[in-house]
Amino acid sequence: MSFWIAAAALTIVATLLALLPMLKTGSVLAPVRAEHDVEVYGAQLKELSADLDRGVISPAEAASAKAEIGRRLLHAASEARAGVAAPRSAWTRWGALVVAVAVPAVALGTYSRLGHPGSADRPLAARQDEAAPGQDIAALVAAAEERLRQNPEDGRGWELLAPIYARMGEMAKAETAFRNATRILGDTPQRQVGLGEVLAQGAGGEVTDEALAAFRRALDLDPAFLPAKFFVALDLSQEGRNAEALAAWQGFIAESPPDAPWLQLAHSAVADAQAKLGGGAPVRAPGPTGEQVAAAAQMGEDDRRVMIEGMVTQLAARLQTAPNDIEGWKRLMRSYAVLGDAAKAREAYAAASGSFPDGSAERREISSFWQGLAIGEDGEAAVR
Amino acid sequence: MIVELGHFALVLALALALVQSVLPLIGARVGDARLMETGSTTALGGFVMLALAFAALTHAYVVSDFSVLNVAENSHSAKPLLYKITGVWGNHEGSMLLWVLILSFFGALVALFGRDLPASLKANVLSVQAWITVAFLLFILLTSNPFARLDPPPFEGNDLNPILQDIGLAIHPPMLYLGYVGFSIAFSFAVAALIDGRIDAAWARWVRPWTLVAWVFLTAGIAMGSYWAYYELGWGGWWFWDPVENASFMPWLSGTALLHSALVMEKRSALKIWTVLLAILTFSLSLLGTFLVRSGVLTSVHAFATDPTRGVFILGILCVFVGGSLALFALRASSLEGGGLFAPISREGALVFNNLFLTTACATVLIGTLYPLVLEVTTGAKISVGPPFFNLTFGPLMLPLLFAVPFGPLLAWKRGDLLGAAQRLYFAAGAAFVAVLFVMAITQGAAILSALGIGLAVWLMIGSFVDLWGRASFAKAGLSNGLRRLSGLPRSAFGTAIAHFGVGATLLGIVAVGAFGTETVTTMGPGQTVHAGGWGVRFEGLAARDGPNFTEEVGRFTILDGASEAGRIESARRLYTARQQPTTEAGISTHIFSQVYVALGDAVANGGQTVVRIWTKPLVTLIWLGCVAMAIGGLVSLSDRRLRIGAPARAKHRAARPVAEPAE
Repeated sequence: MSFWIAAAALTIVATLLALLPMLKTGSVLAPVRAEHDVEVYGAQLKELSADLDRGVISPAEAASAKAEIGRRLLHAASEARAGVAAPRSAWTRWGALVVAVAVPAVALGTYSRLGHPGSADRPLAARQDEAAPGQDIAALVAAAEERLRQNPEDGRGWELLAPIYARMGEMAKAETAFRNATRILGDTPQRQVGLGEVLAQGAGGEVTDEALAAFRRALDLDPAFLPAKFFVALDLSQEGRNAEALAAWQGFIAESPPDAPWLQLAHSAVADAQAKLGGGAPVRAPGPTGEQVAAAAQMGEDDRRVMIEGMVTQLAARLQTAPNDIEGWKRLMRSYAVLGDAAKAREAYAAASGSFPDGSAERREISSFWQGLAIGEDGEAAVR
Repeated sequence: MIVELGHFALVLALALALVQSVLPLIGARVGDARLMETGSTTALGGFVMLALAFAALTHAYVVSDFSVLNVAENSHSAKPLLYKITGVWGNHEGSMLLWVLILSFFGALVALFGRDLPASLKANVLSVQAWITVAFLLFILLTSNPFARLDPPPFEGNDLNPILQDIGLAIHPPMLYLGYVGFSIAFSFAVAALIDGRIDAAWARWVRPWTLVAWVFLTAGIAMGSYWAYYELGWGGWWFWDPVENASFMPWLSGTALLHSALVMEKRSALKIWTVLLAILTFSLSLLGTFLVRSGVLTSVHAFATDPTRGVFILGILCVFVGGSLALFALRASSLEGGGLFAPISREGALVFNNLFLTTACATVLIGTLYPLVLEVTTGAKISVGPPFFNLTFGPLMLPLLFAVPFGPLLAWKRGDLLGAAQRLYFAAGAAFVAVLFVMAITQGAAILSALGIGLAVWLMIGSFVDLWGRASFAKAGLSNGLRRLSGLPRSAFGTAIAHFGVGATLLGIVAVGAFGTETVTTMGPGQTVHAGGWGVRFEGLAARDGPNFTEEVGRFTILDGASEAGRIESARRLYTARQQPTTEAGISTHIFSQVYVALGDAVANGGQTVVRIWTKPLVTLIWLGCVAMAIGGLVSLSDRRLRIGAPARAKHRAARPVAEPAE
């Protein structure tokens, strides 16, 4: 609306400018142009005598120049007497009418064909919180990389890019990004956990010594930082130090808020450790369910990422030691599918298929489950 | 909303230009003062609207509004602010908008300051100006709309060609446009005179300063483009007879001719019809330049777009305006009153001589530029017309003209005294002769042509000031009296002297570089020294370095004058990562007027060796400094706002006054 008001104002200004001379009242006489010539020659004569006074030209030259101007002046003066101009008001009236109609008509007609009246401005600064669905992530990342190349000391840029790399499976780049963010912006438990997680994922879910060091560093910075504790406990489980793992998980549960979404996962880890301590049958590896992932979506960005990826990492590690768990494999594949990581999902599918003999019922079940996930062209090709 | 308002303002400008192209003309025909007056208000209104549109587009660039297609295609959020702004005209659509903005700016100036003009002349001029505006506004709106929108907008733009991200290129196009478009005023005055069938006394008084303004900008713009090509392209040359360069050089040649013939017309009312024709031709050549550069007929860094519909549209504009104005000239020229008579040997005669040679030279450039295009269209054969053609045609045409330059200002109006002028030039001739002998001596007679060329340059440079010297008459009147007389001389006389001196300086630079410049291509390792043209160049080593949006390999060199160090320079091979575009950054070491120019070639595989091109360029900066002097001369002359009348010398008195003193 404000656009049309402004446009109308512009149109009125433009039309009035064109109309203004024609709205003048009283008779306007155009001076005859020969009179102009007389004026010009008169001015030239004045200049000439000024030049003579300054001594720029000699009196003889001045005299001959004066004679020449004089001849032109006489010529013009005789013409000036001859011509007389008269204003014709009929033309003015028609002109005014045409202008009053044509200026708005041409402007509106052309603009309505070429313009986009409803379109607002979209300056980049006002689009920061615009979600980017359908945006090509790779292009966004490339743009961010370009900015970082121009300004490699932009710690905030590294920090933003790091988890995106991690989600794209670019663990080496994610590691560099976390390290740069830490170097420039300083050490925080969040950054250390991010780094440790990337290191663990890079090692196929295994909490390596380097990753563990990062988690421990996070705990040094903030002894109550729950995500770090989660991974330390996970490491103990992976190492098979079940007694310590049990204590760590129990401590973790005690510190977590009662409605924390990762509690279920922690409880099953406790059960697992207890079972192993008691020498009982292996429990089925729990993985994140669809509900859990949905619940995770309610959490803050950092927590959610830590939780989901932690759960998936844990599940993958478990399945390496207990590959016969067909439900676990299904969960793992679905988790990767939910996270949008097609490559990892395919890897999981391949590993799951390899865990069961060719032609077995489990193999067929895995295969049909995989097709149900519909990962995409590559995934389907792998199935065939 | 700002973007759309800009678009709307552009459309309103078209509506106003349409009114401006019709009503004042009718007013002038029927003698209706009110209708004529609409020319002024619509010209001002149109300029305001175009300024709004241009400001809106610039705003979109500054805030990186990628919903505007033009911004998304040519800008990038991370670009420095300066290049965001210059990026507005660093592309086809934006540069055409700037073209029209400048066009309407000149129209508005005529409307504002044209009160002294006869009303009907002013009305006609503004209408003709509006025809051009309408044509180009339609071109913009229909084929190259800068306000086209994108939905959804991308998050990042495509960036500007890195070669164009340079301060020289930020200023060069607006300068050239001010020149090109400035000639539109002379054109409009010429066509207005033809429509009316008469030339008013105020006509020449108006045309000359406008031509001068356009010429000054064009001179500066061409010189800047030449220097940019010299330091940025890394080829060591300053002029390539490239069609795009020629496209700007042709209006300059005919504009220079126009400048001189307008002088005759203002002062002596002679050469009226010829001046009208030159004004038409000069602007036609400007349009031709726009067509050649903008249509994609020529592929170069300037050809942003190769869209056939645009080429056809501009070709249509070209045909209508050039064909129409020339047809009008053929019909009406006979009705124009001829001017005063003059003897062949006179100031007027000298200026006719100037015009003859300049227009012929312009024609040779035109042929050299268009012939390959015509041949390609008719036979499909691709040839390129390069320096050999121009050296054989353009060069010989310039020589007699340059030789005659010092005589011009010394000849009296109407009937001149060639012998007297020659006598006054004896000192300049002597200096030129000494220069020739000196060059012959140091080259042991090996470079006769170069020696003559340098002699010609010295003749020009000293000859330019003979007129001032004589009129101040230091010899007769003494120093203090002479200085007083000198300060009383009209500024236009100083302008003439400075501009002619600039021509000489440019010539000196061209001859010196051509004759005594050296080019060395060699492979160098760190620590190695190469001697070229009296300079030593020591290669210090190669290093990799990262710039903001490029990576580069930098070669460091020390310039040696004998054994002592005369400067350090860096020369680099650059790779702009966003577009994967390699460029060379030449290292240039300036020593007063001479330069040592080092460009890196390809790296050689083993151990830090690299191919290095070394040019030594004696007096090379004079080429551009001379152009600067020409432009300054033009400005000085422009500041002289007196009404001009050329006082003719009287035949009877000539014997009594052997030294004819022409007056202003």
